[in-house]
Amino acid sequence: MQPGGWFFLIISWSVIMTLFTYSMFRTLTSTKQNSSESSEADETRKD
Amino acid sequence: MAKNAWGSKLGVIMAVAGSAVGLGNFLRFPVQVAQNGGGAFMIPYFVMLILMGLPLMWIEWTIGRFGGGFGHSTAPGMFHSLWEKNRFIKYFGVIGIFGPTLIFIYYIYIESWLLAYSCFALFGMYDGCTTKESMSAFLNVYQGFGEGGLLSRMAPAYLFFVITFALNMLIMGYEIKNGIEKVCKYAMPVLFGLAAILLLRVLTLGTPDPAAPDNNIINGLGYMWNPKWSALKDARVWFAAAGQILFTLSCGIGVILTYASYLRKKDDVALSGLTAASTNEFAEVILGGSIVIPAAFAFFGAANMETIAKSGSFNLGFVTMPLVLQHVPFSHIFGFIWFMLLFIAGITSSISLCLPPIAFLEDEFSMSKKSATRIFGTVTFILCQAPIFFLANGVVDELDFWGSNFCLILFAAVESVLFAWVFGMDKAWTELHLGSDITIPKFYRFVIKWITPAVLLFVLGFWLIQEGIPTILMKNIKPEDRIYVITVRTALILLFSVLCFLVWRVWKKREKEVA
Repeated sequence: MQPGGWFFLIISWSVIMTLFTYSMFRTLTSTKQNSSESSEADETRKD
Repeated sequence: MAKNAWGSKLGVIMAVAGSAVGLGNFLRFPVQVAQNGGGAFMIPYFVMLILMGLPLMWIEWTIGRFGGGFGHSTAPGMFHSLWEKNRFIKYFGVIGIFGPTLIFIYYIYIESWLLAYSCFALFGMYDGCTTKESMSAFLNVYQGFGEGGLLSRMAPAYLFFVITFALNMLIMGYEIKNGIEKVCKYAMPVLFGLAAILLLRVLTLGTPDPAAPDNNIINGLGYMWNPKWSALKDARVWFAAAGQILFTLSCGIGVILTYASYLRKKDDVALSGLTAASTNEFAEVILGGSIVIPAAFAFFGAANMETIAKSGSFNLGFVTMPLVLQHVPFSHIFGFIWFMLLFIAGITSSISLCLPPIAFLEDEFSMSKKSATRIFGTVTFILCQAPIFFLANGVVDELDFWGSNFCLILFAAVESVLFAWVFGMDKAWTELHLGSDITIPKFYRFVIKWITPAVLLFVLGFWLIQEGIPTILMKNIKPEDRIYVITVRTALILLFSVLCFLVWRVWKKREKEVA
């Protein structure tokens, strides 16, 4: 494994891990957790 | 509460991620990296993820939620909602029902092989196959190319197909919350767990054969990740990266549109789209990218890797990996884990493919979920016989070409233009941010309007010249198989026409009701 290979492996893993951790954290800590808990008024959007 | 609604935000994200994480993450991606510049491939890969993948994800989530607000769960109605003045756009949306149906017809059969192979691995049924040739022969016999009558040859494959098909229909018979959502909520963590076990096992393989010290895991990772800078000058490498991003995110097949249509008006789509994409990328780059190629390299060495990488995803999954895993202790368990991992990846994708056609019948013909599933199941069960019994005649390749390539690229290109240019960027941006948990950088306004449609149209044009037109003209098809290909194409035209007729009938009926 050349240094360039390690570089791309580490960078790629880091980018994906950061993105995954950030988005999962935001999703799990979001106050609007439950779709079915949304306001019933939302249902009246038809036409 | 609406008839079809998600139980939780995580549930819909897991369902979309389950749809996106498929065989391609574990089999196609590592081969693409190894063959297209190693680590350097990740530059176009990330560029395409940022400029095409993520925007397309947001486009589909937004169109889906928007269309769902008008009571439409599938592309014909959604496209009509986006461009009401155009009478024909709904027929274009038919691709969003036609495409997933086509993919389902052959995907379900391949998925059944995975279930069968996980049993074969557990009970050591291919233990005697110690060479590439004998393992390929084992696969051929399973596919029905062995000796004996057709029924006896096909019996095991057909039995596993029926089980897999029934399992899919059983899940689809339930409402979203108790069917797809529940399955994905449990299956995705299991999939990640199995992949992590396999990854740990592969990374701790070290140097399996002390007589060949160069054949080790670190060099295997090097085979995949060492950058070949010259590849970046090759347009085909950029095209391959765009193709991989497009295929891996499950965009362009209408599934995300349907999933997102069950959201409420103010449910977030921006963060959900990002989370679903990053979950898929985690499975692809970190798990998928570190299992197959390094393991194959450690056992077969650099000299054989070229042939292995070029042998294609199927051989990698069904021939190379079983051979590799036979060399590790507890080979039966690890073989089972490998195929079960792929089976779970397969089933979370196949159930998503069923949804757009079933949702179309439910919404536009006011059918119950069970009736719609029954009709879809009957029609697809009949259609599935073609790839099962005519596998050797290029039927699967033909369905794959139209379903996974042609429809997907065309649909993605047109929906991005429709969203940014017809619906209008101002409305699109506002709709995307409605109820959003994150603020998307403003730079994406420009990307969604200009770059994403341009990249997709370029991919469409490049693909048509390089692969599309030669395949349409049957240049790579054996003369004796042409009759099968023509028959398949005739059937596909018929199916597409029937779907267009159904859309026409629904709209005609609605117009009468309004009048």
